[in-house]
Amino acid sequence: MHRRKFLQLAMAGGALSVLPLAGCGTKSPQPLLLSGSDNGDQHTLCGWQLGQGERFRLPVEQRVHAPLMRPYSQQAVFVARRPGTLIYVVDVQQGVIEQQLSALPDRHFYGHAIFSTNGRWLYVPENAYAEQGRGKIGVYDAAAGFQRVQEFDLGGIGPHQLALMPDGFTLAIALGGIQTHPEHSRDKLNLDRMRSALLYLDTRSGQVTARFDAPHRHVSLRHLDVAKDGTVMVGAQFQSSANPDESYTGPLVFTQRGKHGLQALQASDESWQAQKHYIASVVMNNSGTLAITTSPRGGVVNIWQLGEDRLLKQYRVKDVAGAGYLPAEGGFVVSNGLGQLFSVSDELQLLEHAVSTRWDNHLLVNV
Amino acid sequence: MIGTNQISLQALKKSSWLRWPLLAVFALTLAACGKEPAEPKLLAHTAHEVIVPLYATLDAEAVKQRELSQAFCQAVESDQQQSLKQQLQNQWRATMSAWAGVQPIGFGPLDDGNLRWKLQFWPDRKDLARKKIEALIASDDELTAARVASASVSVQGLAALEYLLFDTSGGALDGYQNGEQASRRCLLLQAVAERVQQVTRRLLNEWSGEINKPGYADTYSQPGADNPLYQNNNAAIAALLDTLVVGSEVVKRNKLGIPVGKDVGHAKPYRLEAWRSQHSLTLMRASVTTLEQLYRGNGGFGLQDYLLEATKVDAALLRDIDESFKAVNAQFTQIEGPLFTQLKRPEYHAPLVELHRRLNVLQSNLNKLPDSLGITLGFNSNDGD
Repeated sequence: MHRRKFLQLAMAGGALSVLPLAGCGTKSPQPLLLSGSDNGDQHTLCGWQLGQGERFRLPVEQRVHAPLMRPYSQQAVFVARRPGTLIYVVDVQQGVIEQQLSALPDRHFYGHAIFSTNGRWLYVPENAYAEQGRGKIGVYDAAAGFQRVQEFDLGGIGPHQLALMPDGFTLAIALGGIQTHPEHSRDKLNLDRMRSALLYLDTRSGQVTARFDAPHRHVSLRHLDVAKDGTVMVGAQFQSSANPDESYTGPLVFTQRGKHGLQALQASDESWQAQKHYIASVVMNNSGTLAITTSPRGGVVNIWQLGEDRLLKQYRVKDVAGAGYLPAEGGFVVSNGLGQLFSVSDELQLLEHAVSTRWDNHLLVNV
Repeated sequence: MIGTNQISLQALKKSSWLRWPLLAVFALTLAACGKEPAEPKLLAHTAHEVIVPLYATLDAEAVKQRELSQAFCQAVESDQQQSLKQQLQNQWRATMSAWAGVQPIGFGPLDDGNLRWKLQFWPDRKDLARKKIEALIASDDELTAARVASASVSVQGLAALEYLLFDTSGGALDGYQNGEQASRRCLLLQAVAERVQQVTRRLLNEWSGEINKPGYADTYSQPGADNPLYQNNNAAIAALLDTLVVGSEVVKRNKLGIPVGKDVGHAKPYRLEAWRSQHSLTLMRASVTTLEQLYRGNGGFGLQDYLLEATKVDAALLRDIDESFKAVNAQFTQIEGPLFTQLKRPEYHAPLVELHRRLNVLQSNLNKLPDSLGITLGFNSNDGD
């Protein structure tokens, strides 16, 4: 009850004013948030400075999924979501598109990518759909104008989000397991035989070094984040269309540590049910003690206590998907399809509202 | 009780006009201009004349249920207990049907704080109701509405009451008359019934508003830049369309399709809503009736009227929707039930498959409305990446 009143107050205030983030000093500027956004039929790349509003909004041809910053630079890349074939390289200071990369023929991207620690190599999940949907990681050299220099074969289908492990050379890759083909729109072609897993790939050898299978044949692992201690947290989507007879109330979020298998986080059946089979974003804090996940279909944000690996708190936010961590505040930020941005910590607070902006699936906080 | 509720609602509605001077001016201007714009009319009618009365009915039934459960537990003679138990079972059916009428409404305070599950935890695949209810009865906890409110959702709400009234062991009259736990079972029954009514009253108050406070019905029917939930008319209409699309999907898939299965061999009677009371078919109809009321406006200016007036939507689609509602209703009359015993019998299978087919047609017709109005239902929530 108290929380709800607070939320209403926050929402009512947010429509008129901008609430400064608590604990934010005057020295450093507020973080820049990057996200795709759709206004009606227009796909855009958006830069939004907390406290100041829109920095840039760049119309693009393809709908993007996740942005990321290139280390030691002012460059961000926004990757088109499936079955998109473009990567936009943006100078976030100038707010201009510097370069546009195209996928190889008969390939498309999955909306995610990750840079090597030094910012030189860009690893991009690709669908080799003319080869029965084999999942690949394309390697692009940012120092050479993002020339494509190499590729790794994953021996599986549907690589989605990936992250670099603390060792600096291992990629953790969520292999969704679902085959799609651009000629069949976004239809799922192999639900009867999908095999989703969390993969580890050594970028020095290009070999998959470990594979942890999803705990249920219709659980598709999609999004993940890595803590400094190497704990990987992965969020899933349950393919309920493959299971009209089964209402899965099992877990959707897992951790993986060392050589141990995927471990489900602890939450009640009702809390899992509230997430409606669908996790859109997984973000951990810097120390790896807390994480949040977003569930747009259920309209809930979950805060997880790591270590104990259990659900701490669940907030309702309509159409919520994007999530990021604000290190200066020690809290999280989430975005939704209604153009709202909320800070998430002990309480939920509306930070800002971008009118006629639909924040797309992922949010990046650049500090 | 029903009478009082209606009077207070009327009073609230009148006073809410007085508390919105801007709106009153707006209304006067409209009267001067002659024609009232369609959107405010649609939203106000939908909220105040369709939805609030559904919540009022639910609360009125829940009040009767609470009172009857107290009467049942106070009765001492076996005959009287038996008769009151039957009355209470009938009252539960009435309350549950009223709930099924509210259930498809996909916006409003029902979706805050897990209230939906607090009124009905369903589907309950692992039959948590039995486990948790029996454990609570066997415990030393004080059995009050407050204790129920803090317990797992599987011991709260109408599904828990169904267990306590209809289960062949946990709901048997004998369990309320004999044995160590008889009095505790009755305490829990009253506590759950009381808690249900607390929730239904809260929902009614939050929708209709209270003396000094506008309700969700006002928020819903007055979109604007300073409205925290509905910034414009389309956002509010989108919530209504979403209810029609998702509501018809839930009836088609969850209430009917999953239990019926692809053939008799795959039927799942325990996946029926309210299988214990064998009340599933009535509940399905009650939900469809609400969808139809929301579409047709229940005697006032409804979505159908709005769509006809707005002329944005192809007249053929409106005819199709009209006919598909009629076709679904006609098919309901071909099925008598109870589904729980019929699902596994081949001679009853065909009419159920036909009902499913007709619900599917209705659902896909309703699903064409958002696009033809240029309204998007959710963004990330309808995505899949």
